[in-house]
Amino acid sequence: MLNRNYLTNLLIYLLFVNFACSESMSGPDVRIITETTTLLPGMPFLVGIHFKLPEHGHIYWQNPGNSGLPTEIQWTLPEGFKAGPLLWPYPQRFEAPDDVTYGYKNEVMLMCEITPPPNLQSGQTIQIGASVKWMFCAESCIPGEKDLILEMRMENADKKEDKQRSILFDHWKNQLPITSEKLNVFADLQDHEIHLIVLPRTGSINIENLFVFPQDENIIDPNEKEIVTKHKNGILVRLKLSPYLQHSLQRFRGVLVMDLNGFTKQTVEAFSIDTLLNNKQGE
Amino acid sequence: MKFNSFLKISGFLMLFVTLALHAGVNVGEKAPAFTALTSQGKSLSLSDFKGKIVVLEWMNVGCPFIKKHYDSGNMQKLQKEYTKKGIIWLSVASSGPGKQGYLTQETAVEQNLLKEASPTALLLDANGDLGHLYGARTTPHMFIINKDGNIAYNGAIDDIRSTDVNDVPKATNYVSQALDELLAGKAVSVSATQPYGCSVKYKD
Repeated sequence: MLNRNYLTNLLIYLLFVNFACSESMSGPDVRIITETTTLLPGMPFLVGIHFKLPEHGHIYWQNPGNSGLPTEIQWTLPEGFKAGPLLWPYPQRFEAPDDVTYGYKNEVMLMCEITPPPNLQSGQTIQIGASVKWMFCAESCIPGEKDLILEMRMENADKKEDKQRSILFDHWKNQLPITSEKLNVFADLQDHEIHLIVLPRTGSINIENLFVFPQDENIIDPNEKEIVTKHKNGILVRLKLSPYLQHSLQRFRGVLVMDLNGFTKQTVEAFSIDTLLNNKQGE
Repeated sequence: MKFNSFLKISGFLMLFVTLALHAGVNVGEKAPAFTALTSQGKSLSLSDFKGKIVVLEWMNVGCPFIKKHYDSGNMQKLQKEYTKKGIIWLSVASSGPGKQGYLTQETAVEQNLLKEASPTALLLDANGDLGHLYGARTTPHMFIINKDGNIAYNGAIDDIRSTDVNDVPKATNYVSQALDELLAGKAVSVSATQPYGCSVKYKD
């Protein structure tokens, strides 16, 4: 039954919640979370660094593009634990006058596979530390850093908690670029450009909303938009070389993001590209 | 009078064409000519400094990468040291009106960041013409023009991309390295590096 006390309390609660949840002026909310709370000897598990970002602005991918700073995570692990490479969900392009950058807005979770040693003792509590650094840029840029610690024990958490974790991890795992045998990629250098030919084994590729993100910095000029044209049943992507490139190129690594339009069940898919240059078989 | 008008018009067209073609400058190329207004309200041209080494320093008082080099005293130290050796040091503010780092003659003198700075001049480039002419991409972004008027260096100020003042003494400063080499009559060993910093806040 509603009474005055209840309504007053509700009002106070709502005001508090509204205040507490208003956009943080201090930048992103960052937390550390594991895919599982079960720790088993030799059994790898994913750790995520989850960012919730203020509405306007973004943090950066491993290649930030024209400006900014790549997001950085340094792990502190117990004896015998090993960390794999940092796993980056596919990024977005951000365009400003004479400034194209690559990164994430609103929310992102970077991940890493951690492998415990095979001789892990039961009953142990271990700590995983992550020292996180980022640059958050909207109209202005604000650097940030946070040291996070997570404890894990060799025991199961309750199932309800696991479900929320799986939803979060499934979402962000799906954003990781995949290596696909469905695509054949060929690349060569021509006139200060990298020419990428991408041919699907079956079907065709939608050239609209297609982006190529170079993984390594200083190779491709981020301020020059790639030129994408149809080529056989696939595409030709022309990427302008960076004016700061000082060495000869052997390979091109990057992420190809495209609208699938029936290619698979998902609407957007990201593919990992890693190809040697001067491999002209696609022509 | 008619001839003067003709010269003015063709000069304007040439400048326009130059601006339209240039997407930046490459090492070894002739440094593009320019005229700009300083924070003191004076007009200054690159041709005023014929035969001298000229440094162009793109900056933005609000950018954390710039703050790293000014809070540490690093930029001021470079300006002082090298202007004493006869080098012309031009700081450039290309932020557009309303954008971070936008400076006018009035606001330039108020900047705490610039109190200890001693460039030869601070150029106010709110229109972005000079920035676009040189292809300035970040703040900081450094250019060095040698005595022959050619670009001798284009790129980052040093080799540690961060906003941490503690990295300043640890880093190799490409600008002082190149200037020392030029002053000693040597070739510049590292002439082009990818610049790092905030984007230049060009007007829309």
